[in-house]
Amino acid sequence: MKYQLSRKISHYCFILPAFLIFISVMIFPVFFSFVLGFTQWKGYGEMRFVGFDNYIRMFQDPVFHIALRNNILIVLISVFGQIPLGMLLAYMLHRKMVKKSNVFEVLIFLPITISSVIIAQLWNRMFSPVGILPALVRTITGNKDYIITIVENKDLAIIPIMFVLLWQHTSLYMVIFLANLQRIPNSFIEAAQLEGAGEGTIFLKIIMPILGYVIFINSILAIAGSFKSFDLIYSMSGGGPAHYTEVIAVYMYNTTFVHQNYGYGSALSIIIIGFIVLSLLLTRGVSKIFKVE
Amino acid sequence: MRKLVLVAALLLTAMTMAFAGPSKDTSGATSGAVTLTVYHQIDLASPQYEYWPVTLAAFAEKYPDIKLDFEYVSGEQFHDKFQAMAATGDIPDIFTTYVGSRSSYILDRGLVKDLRPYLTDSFKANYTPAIWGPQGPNGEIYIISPNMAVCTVVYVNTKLQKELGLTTPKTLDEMIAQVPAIRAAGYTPLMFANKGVWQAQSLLLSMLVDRMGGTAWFDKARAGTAKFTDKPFVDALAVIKRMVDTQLFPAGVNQLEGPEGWGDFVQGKSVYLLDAGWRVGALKGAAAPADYAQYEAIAFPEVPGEVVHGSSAATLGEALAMNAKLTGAKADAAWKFLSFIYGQEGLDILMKYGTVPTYKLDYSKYDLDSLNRQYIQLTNSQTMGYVIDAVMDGEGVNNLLNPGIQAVMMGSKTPAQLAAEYEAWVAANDSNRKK
Repeated sequence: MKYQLSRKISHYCFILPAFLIFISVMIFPVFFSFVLGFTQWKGYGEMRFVGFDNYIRMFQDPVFHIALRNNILIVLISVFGQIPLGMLLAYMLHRKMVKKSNVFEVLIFLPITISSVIIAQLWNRMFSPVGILPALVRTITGNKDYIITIVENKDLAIIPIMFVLLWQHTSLYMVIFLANLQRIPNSFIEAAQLEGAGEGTIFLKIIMPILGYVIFINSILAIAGSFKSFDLIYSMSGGGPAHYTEVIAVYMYNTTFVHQNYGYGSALSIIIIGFIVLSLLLTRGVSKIFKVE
Repeated sequence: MRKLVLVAALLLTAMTMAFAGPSKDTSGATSGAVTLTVYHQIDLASPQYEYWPVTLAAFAEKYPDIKLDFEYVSGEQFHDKFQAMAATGDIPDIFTTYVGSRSSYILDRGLVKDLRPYLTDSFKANYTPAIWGPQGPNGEIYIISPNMAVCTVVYVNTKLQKELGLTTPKTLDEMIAQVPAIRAAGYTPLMFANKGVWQAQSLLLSMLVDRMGGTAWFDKARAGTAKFTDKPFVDALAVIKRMVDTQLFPAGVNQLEGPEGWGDFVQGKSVYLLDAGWRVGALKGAAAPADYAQYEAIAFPEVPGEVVHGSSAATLGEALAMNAKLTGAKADAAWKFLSFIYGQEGLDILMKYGTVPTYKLDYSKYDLDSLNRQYIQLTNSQTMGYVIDAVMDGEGVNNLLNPGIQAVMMGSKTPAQLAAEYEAWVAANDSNRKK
């Protein structure tokens, strides 16, 4: 009995450091942010309790509306752009549909290995009015004043950023799919081919069901990553011009740390957590409907 | 069992030690030498700061017993990290400080030393009187600003002007009238870059508001006896919109980074450049000497309806300040450092590198180039209005006004709409209206 008790105590002693770290870097900040979301505070001085004012303000705030719309668009391009494209590329490489597939594999994977800040600078140099793409179009068309005008359109300004996100992150999903494709025994595919199955049938009837759970995992990664998306957008546009490319994480950062409105910023961060949790629950629900194992 | 408990206890002790920091001595050193930690917001790679290593070498020669331990961080990262330090109350001995809302996270917490006990009348007499205005609520002086940040200057490429048969415009209408000829020749009339968002407010709107209403009107708007929906503010915004509509600016002005803008001017792609006074040094470093020699600096041309003529907008340039907790030998060393770099010796070096300081120096002793001479003459002849982001609260300016100006420029908001939105924010939130 005494031995059991001392064994238990020793177990707790070992768990305690990790538990303390988890509490201090995860639970406490989230809880503190949740409390701060009901206050008006500049990060110092008097902290004033304002109830749900920050949340009411959020739903009346046009910048938040733009940020939310952009986040949803980024989720959509991630789930319905990056994942299918990553899967397609992985399948093409796995089935050796292109020559020199190793070279393509490296080329496609390259963007994910580069820092987002560098990628942002690279694409800014491409899209800028003094950049490569407008210069090329000017040369071809003779239009001296050509610039990429969608960047200045409230509804379309996010498109170049979505394109860069698609370019950057597709490779991650491709690698995950490729690793899982390599686990499928060739005998499965050879047997199907002997039975007369074409590429389409093999892909839909053999590959897709086996990769179901990978798609589910990738969707979770894509959704959570999209709501947190910060580094590339902050470096590429900072949310501008005129907040047109704002996303919630960038808006939260600027509100909290640049404008020192910790109350409203914390409410925004809680909303980000809420959206991620909600999206994950939805994904789980969908996966249950389709019985993804 | 005992061993397990012992290991666990050791782990806990190690963690406690890892999280605990050393205590700081703010009074001085035990030996003769004093070491000061300095948190400085400059980018040493920028040609603008070529003078800094020279200044430090001169200081080290004069005061070998004062050691400086620098951390250089530029841009927003400087403020991000400093805010975290300020939240813990543990800040370096000396650090970059702005007068106004940008440094409120240290100023409002009382973390910056009031320099008034050090500032004798004879010391103050050496400087432009404008820098000794109150910087805190009780008249505190936190920094000795080494230079005035003059925010609106128009630079002229006179070679291109002659090539196109143009003369320097005296009014905005005259400048706009030159647009067809300049554009037909394939050049940009007035180069300006506003991707950074703050430029249209700091470098243009602040000056235009002063021209339209003057500082007296702005004081009233700050206090709430006038409103930002009044004519001077709306008209100033409308001037910016007119400048866009008449194609004075380059296409995609809100997509251009600052260096892309003045970089194109240096490459001879535009006749005029709208930028700040502090750009002189960068132009000198980037342009070919023959090109630089023909540049001119002029005031922004006369704007229809202006009540103040030829003015610009200016604020005190940022400077290093002292930790309020410093005492004894450390405080003495910090003052020696500040009074050296911002005194005659330090600002003499700054002047040699092309920045006009607030210290009264005999300009005739310096081998100044023509653009610098023109700039000095220009700013001495101008009155200066407020730079809006130096006097109004940051959230309203950065979150609403600056992006709002971009929206006006791109046509998705009218000047009156933006003015109404900004006035509503200021009325509800700005600390100027709560005094």
